[in-house]
Amino acid sequence: MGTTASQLGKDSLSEYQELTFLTKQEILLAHKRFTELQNRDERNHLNATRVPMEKILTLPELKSNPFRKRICHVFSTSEAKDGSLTFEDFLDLLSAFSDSATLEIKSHYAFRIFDFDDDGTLDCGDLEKLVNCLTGETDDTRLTSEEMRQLISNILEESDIDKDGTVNLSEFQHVISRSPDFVSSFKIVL
Amino acid sequence: MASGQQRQGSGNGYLTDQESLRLRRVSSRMSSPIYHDVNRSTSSAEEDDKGGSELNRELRSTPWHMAQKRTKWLEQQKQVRAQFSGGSWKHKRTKYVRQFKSNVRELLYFFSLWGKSLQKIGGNFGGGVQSYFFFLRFLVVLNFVSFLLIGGFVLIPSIVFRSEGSNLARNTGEEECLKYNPNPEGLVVFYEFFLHLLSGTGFMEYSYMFYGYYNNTMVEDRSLSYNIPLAYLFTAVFYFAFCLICIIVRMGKAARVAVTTGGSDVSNYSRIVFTGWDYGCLGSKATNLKQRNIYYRLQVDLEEERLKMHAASLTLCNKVTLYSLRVLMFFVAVGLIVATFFAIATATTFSQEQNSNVQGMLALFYEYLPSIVITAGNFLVPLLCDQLALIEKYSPSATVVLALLRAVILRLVSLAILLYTLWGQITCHGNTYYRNITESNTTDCDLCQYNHSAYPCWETNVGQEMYKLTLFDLLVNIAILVLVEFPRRMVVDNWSCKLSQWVGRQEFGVPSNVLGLVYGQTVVWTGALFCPLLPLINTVKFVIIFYCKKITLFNNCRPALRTFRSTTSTFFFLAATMNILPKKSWHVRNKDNVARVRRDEAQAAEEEREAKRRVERAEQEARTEYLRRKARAALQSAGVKGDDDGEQSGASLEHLNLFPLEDSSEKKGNEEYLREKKEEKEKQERAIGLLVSLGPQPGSEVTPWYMKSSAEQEEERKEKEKRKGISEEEKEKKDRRLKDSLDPLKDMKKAMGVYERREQKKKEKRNKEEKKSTGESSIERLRAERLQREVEERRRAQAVLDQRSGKRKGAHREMDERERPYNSAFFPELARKRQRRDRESWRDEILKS
Repeated sequence: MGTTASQLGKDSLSEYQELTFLTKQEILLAHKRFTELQNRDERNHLNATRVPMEKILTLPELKSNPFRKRICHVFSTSEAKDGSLTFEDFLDLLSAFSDSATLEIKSHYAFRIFDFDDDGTLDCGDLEKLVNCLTGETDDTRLTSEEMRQLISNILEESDIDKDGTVNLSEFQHVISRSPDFVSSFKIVL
Repeated sequence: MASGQQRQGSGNGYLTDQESLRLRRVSSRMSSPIYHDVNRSTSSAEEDDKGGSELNRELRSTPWHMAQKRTKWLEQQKQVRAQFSGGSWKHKRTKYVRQFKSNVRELLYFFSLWGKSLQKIGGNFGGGVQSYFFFLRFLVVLNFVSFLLIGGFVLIPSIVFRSEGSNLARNTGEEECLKYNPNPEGLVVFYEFFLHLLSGTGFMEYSYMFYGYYNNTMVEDRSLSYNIPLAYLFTAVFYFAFCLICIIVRMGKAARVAVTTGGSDVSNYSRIVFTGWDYGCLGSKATNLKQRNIYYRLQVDLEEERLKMHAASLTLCNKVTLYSLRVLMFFVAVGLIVATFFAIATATTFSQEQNSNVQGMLALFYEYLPSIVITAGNFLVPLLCDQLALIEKYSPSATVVLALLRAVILRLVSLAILLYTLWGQITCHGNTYYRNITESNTTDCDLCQYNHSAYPCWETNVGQEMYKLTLFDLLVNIAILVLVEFPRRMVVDNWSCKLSQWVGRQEFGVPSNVLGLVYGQTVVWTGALFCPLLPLINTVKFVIIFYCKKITLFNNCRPALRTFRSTTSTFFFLAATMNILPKKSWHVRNKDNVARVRRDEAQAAEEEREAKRRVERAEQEARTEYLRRKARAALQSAGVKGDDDGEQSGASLEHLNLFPLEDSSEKKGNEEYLREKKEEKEKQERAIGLLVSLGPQPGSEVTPWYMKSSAEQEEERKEKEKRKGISEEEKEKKDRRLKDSLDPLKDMKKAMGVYERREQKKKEKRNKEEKKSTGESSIERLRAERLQREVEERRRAQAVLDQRSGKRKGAHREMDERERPYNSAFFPELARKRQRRDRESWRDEILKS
């Protein structure tokens, strides 16, 4: 732990504290966990290397999450769109999922996670994928197509305020703002 | 995103190369058009100058990537440094305050009770279970502070003064009633020591634990005077007030959240789908359970909707059966609860009677009989009520609420029954049976106002009762953990027979557990006056329960199938009343109201149309009447022959009434007049503020502007403009005509016109003369113009040819500095892209021309 602290550097540590919702301990822990994922020779240059998505997904906190791939894609700054994360991306992820992050930022990232085709709105396809993720892909927990159709029309009726057939970010945030438990459930703690 | 980022980039020409690269990468990646506005709005919000700390907080909560945030941050730092050059102490202070705050927060986090455990619980089992433990922690702290209060003001002074041996305060009342000497025995057998510890008798009774031990000590020195009875009383009052305030503060927080978030019934599906997932779930097992849970909820809700439709189509007979069944079940449930109360009362009386007759273990059993009966009742009756709920067939949400309501009533009222029975015993009231058998007791009661021979210090007895309840609750909790929960888990895990699989692992039911806590706390509040150390005992008890529950949670439990909303539950249980908040709709603009307004408007429009139709018909009739009369007059003048016929037809017209109803409605007063009058009255009322209608005014737009899409708004605006344009044009024309006819300026102009015409004629004459002299020059001017035009055309043609042959490749079009959205040196890629676009647009322009 001591070595990692020195490796991270005091300046960048305070900078990360300034720019994220994480505390000092959380950043150090994140650093430790992240370096464990890296190869031995990559450890020296922290921000230059990317850890591929497959390795990130071996973290027990993300391993069983049905949205794990989406989470990686949303927080990745990789040009190849392969979902690989740098350390800073990783900190961004933890910051958005931390205890003290605001509702606004959490809902923003939640929206992007649910927006499977990255087109900026949740349309029927997105909603269907979302519901499938929520209920699981196995046959006994998958909703029938009839139920799915009814469910999606119900959702749109409830939250699609401008009636354009999709849920956009502000409509999404409107729904989120009325469910106070969201902040406590949208949380990943290392 | 991209443009905002570019603008930002152009501001800092001093960015290091690496960062600019990062920026480019980010901006090229995030080219989706939607996340655009959020970002721009936040960045524009940041451009407003604010304090340093606020800026950073803003920055932290912007959905940017680290690189972007860092760039912005560095920029801000520079700005701040420039602003506070010379190290203004204000800036320093804010910085230090911020640092201090974060340090304190970290320290508090470090010291906060069970912070890590709570986080872990929240991570593994979700917010609902976590809220239970938060509540438990709150109660522990509350009890501990209460103990400090009591200890500081009552316990320590009594100990000090007792050792000093000060004088007793003067006594009031009969000497006989003040006798209190609870068995100051010598040696006791070990097991009896244990029994005393459990039942609060023997050595426990005569200790600081109970009310009876405290003396009426009053210290009066020159400098100091301390009245322990008074302190005791005031501390108790203050203790209750303190607890009340704590709870109200906590409740207020929860209530505020509940109120601001509105009802829970609205947007139920969206809520499940959008916020249903708990990202803290660890392990594939928990994930599967959670998925199953969500699936179950969705299916139940969809099913419920279908059931509602089904219920609407029920026949009368079915309904009557269902409702009668419900009423019956209600009475059965009430009967069960009342039976429990009766059992508690009987047990209390019995145990108090048998108290002095037996010794040893049997005495202990009798001592604990009320506690046992209460616990058993609280365990059994909810189980039976659950079975009743199956028959009642309420909707799932109603079932949960009903079950909780019954449980709350049962728990709290059973405690009240216990107290009432004790009260009856102590004061010899309400227990005629007892008085009839032993006559002597009446005299005792008459003497001291209470049964002195049986209860030498009745306050201690009540305290003992509460002490036993608290202790028994703890023992039951531990016993259930050791004897039920662990074996159950082992059986379920190791044996795979059908029964054990059906039973399954235990669920951690938040409602029932919180109810247990509330019950324990209520017992403490009841007994705190008579047993001052009860808060301390309760603190210890809750700490033990915390660890027990944590162990059982991590080892024995699976996440509950039915989740419980954490925020509303806090409020719910603290209030210990029914959950009224989710039932009430707090916003006026809900679906029902909107529908009602629309319906009313549609009705009004319909009525208006009806009135119009009637007016038209009236006019038509009048016209036909007029024409008919005219025709009749013509006929009369033409010949006398048709006279009879005309009269007959008129009579028949009067008698033949095809629409009697409508006619009568038409004849009923002057409706238009009445309506006008009513409208006028309403208008007046509205003006003086008597009549206030919520929502949009009738006749105004149905959906407010913020709920409309931009396209809709645009359309509406256009339409309005069109309408307005037409009407305004007409109005203007009319207006102008009127004005023109009245304008005195017109006359003047007329006069002036005459004069000007004369002048012009003169000028023309002069011009003609001039033209004759300069005829050559005008031709020359035309020729020059032609040449210029030709040159221009040639140049354009040349440009097109150059474009074709690719000669102009190297030539750069000089751009206005302001047109550039970025510094091309730092964004070569973007610059190239932009250039290409510019070039294309330019070429199009040329081709067009």
